[in-house]
Amino acid sequence: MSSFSSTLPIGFDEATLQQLTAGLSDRQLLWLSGYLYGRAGTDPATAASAPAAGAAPVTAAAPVAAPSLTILYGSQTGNSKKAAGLVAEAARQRGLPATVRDMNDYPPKDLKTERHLLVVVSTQGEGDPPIAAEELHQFLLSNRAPKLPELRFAVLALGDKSYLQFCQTGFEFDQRLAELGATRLLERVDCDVEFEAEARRWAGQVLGLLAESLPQVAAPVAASAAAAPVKPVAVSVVVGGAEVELEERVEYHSRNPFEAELLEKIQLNGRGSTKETYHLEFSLADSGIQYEAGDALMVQPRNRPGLVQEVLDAARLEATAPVRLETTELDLTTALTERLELSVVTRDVLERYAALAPHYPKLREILADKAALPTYLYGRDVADLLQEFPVELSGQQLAAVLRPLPARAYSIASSLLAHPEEVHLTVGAVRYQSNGRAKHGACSSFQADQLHLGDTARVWVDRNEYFKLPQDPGTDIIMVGAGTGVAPFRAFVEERAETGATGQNWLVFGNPHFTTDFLYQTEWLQHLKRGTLHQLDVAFSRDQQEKIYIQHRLLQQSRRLYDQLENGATFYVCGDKTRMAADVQRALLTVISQESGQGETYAADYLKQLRKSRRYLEDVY
Amino acid sequence: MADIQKLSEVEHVKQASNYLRGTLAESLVNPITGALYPDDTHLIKFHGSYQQTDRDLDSERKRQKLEPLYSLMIRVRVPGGVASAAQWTRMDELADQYGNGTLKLTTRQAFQLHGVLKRNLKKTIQGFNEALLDSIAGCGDVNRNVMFNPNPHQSRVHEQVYEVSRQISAHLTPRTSAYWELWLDGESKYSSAPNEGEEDAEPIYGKTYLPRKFKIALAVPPHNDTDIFANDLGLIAIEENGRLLGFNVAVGGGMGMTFGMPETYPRLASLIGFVPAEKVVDVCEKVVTIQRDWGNRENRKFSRLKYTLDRVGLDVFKAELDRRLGFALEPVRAYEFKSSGDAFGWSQGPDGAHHLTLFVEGGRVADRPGHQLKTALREIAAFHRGDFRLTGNQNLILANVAPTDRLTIEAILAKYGVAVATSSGLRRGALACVALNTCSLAFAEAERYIPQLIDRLEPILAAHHLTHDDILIRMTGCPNGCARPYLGEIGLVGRAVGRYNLYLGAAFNGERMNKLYKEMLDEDGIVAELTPLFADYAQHRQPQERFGDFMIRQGYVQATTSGLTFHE
Repeated sequence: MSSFSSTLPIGFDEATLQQLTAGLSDRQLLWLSGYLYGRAGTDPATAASAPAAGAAPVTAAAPVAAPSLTILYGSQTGNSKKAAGLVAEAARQRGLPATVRDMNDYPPKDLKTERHLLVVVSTQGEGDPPIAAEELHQFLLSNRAPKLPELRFAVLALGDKSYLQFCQTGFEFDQRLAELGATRLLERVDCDVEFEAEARRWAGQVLGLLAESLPQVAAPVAASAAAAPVKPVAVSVVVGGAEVELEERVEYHSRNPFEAELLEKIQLNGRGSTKETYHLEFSLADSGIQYEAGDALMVQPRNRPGLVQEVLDAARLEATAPVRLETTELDLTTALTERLELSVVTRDVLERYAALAPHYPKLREILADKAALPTYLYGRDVADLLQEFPVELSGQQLAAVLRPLPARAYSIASSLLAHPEEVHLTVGAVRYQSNGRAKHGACSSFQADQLHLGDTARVWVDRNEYFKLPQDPGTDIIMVGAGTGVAPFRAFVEERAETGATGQNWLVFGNPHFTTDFLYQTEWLQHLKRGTLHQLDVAFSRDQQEKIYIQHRLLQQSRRLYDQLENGATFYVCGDKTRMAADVQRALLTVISQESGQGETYAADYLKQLRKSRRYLEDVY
Repeated sequence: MADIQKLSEVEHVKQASNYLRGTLAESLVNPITGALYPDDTHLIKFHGSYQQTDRDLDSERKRQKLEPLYSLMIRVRVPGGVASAAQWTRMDELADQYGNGTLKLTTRQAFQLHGVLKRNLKKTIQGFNEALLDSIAGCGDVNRNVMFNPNPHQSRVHEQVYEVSRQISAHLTPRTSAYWELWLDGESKYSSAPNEGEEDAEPIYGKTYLPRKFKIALAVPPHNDTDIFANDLGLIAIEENGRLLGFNVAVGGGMGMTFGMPETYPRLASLIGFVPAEKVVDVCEKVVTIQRDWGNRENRKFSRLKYTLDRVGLDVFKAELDRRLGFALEPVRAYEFKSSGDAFGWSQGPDGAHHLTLFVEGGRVADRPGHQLKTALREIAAFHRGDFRLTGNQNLILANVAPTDRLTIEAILAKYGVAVATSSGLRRGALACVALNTCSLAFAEAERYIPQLIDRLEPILAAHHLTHDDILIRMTGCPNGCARPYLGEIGLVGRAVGRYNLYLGAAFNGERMNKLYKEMLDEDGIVAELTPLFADYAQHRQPQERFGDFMIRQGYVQATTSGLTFHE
């Protein structure tokens, strides 16, 4: 470790480092690196040292230090891209190292790592940003935008003077960056249709200013890190305790859920889809909640007001009737909304209800026929039951019949490294008709219909012990998911992209239609482009005469699949338990049997060994 | 030769494409995107198709983490606009099966299908082939669909000139076998398919084809409904007693320009001489090869023949043409154009045949509530013994109708709410390009919007008793000129969503372009500007005086005398 001691910040010697990391496993070190990186990045006082941390081996997980000069463009017609190219060329001629980046591919969180930023952006129509810049623009203008006190910047705005909102987007970038504490190197320049001469002039000026400061940036990072020593408090949190304290500083669970604010909600299915899938982003700010890719998030739903009313009507009970649940007194509406399960009737509920309604022999018959019971219960809710077998009962009696409203688990769709202090979910809204009434999945419809931006949901993390990335970042992974089953794989790919894992990432995804149901399509295309996803196979079952599912794609890729397994790959399946997971397993057995040439028994044994060594992992529901 | 370093990106793509193949074969089967690889988006044009997105949904889909809704527009060539009933039926079916359920009749007498997904493109083109239609050279840097008056009234001379237009079209069709290889699995029912074993070569175009698109139109006076002066090469038929003698040749027309770049401009073709009919194909070839060799391949904004001409001068160009031909063109013969519009309704030719010209708003053949044009035409195509003729004004002629079918056709049209005569002269003559939501170049609406604008203008026209006057209005979503807006007596060219530049003063017969009158008008602005002009026209026009001519006489705008003075 002595080799890098010269790069350590002042007040942080090798002994401290040893003390900090003694007894930690590789995995724990890796985790810690991300934690510290994220922490340093969110604390303005230590933000300056974040790039420095990136250079130290302890933080192998962190991205490499930010380039000294970034030229960031947002282009619609290609003019801004061209202007950015002119600026880059001018920088190259002056010997200034610069990176040109497209706003379309630029993760907004990277802004924090920038030190010298030249923005070239055009304005569309009546003052709108180019589509390529929308995401960054929206982020920057939102409350989520970080303070940028370390940033020096200048903006070149492109536009057309004949429009009222000439160069509006450039103006907004310029103004907002300054508001966020960044230092303006040069007054913004607004170019008309003929932009090239202006762009060259601007480049000359701004690069002239930068030439004085950039060499300092290129020099060893230790200099700037020295100015801002790591805050002891940040260290003590880590030093002070073992892994337990790190991961469970504050325990959130069903009795103490975290109120997570909804930051973003996007319907992922294009128009005309038969599916309704939501991408939700929750804030974990100030919770200290940590999770790993592969974990699940528990979400505590609230029942739909419409359903609560139907239950009240069917039971002919007052909304304000008092009830006691355990030790709590509350009114019936609150109990039915927050505490009791209404959308599902289970056997125990039916039994308790039947006890209150001895005059319905049919209820006893239903309960007696164990084989037919699941069919009876399918798609029935509490309102159905109350309507079908009306009984005179009190609010307290009803509460005693019903089950507590359970939280639902969702495979987390994000990596904490990629989205610090956030957790993302992929939720398919469950809706169907049954018993002549529209039915809605309790938790999916809660998130789809009731939860709006700024609202909070009660959540906590449910660890999935085994559905995790391989310990060895060099191990290949094969991810097979249909529909919302793709969620954990988004987390996996993000995590492996952030940590720079060298193993191959192969995703096989299926859904009904290419045009409307290709969940996270643009993100996958970006990962492919960046080399953080290596193979993507898709099966859109309804786009052609014959139905093609993911297992067909596995069979088509038989050789490649077997080779990767032989090479030590881990195989993941996520999604529908009854059909998809079984079909995938069958396909895998065929592949092994066929490619090994050793028959079915061998294949069955091979798969068993894969399971045993935790290289065949399922997250199915 | 141009400096290779300076050649435009598209030139490099063409050069490396192996006669228009590129990586199209892989692009088409890549299942993770509805788009083609970027280089292939240039090459697909030569096969008759543009990659487009549904721009109404771009922003929404980006947010949904879905790529833009990519689809392909496919343009099917119909030389002279003449299609058989069987061909009409097939296009109708393909529009439903793979397109968006509508057919667009273009301003160049071609069919367009919109909204074809990449995975269906090959099946669609195979469908054309089965009906002896193709899309090769529908777009791209080659000679496009050859236009000719569909006018069936001058039946004798029409037959002769139509034959010439087919010869020109066939002569200038690319020879590459890439089209047959990519779309038709090497098989074709089309007669111009290459012979087996022949190596690809392009004797006329060469490996890099033309610097830019190239357009040819023919017309028999007095009808200029193909707007021949808007073409790179315009041919005016000269006849004597129903016998075709030859053509006046006009070169260097083109509509496109770019806002903010006054060195780009629309230009009308210049007459350079007369050529006997038997030599006209040779003239076409030589004009094409001069443009191939002399056209600008560095900056596509200056690649059209019109800029080549204004750069070298008409005399130099003519001398080179004479040299390549080995003979000199004769002096221009006398001719007169009277109009560039269509005459609607039933008519009967000198040979006794019946023809029906139908107004097709925006050229869009679709079924709308109360107006099921597409269904009506499908039913007619099932028994119609004549042909379907696409006009250069996006309308349709049912030509050579058997006298016994007339009543049946009228009954079908009535049943589906298709009126033969329509509301106003303004609406009848209106032209609009596709624009939003599929054209990637559009700044503003055109086809989807112009009916609404005319709804507002019609009561004003009525108030001034101008309802039945033919006034040419043309709207495009950008300045590139697909609906020939600079030949509109009222030209509206999109600047931004809901904002248009207003041009006035073009000649009704297509022989003079208009001039900018007002900029960046919204709908209220357009109506406010046009209202007093209509009033003035109604009160002070001279007998037979056209709206465009009146605008100039009254001094609202100066007459545009050449492309170079368009912006003055």
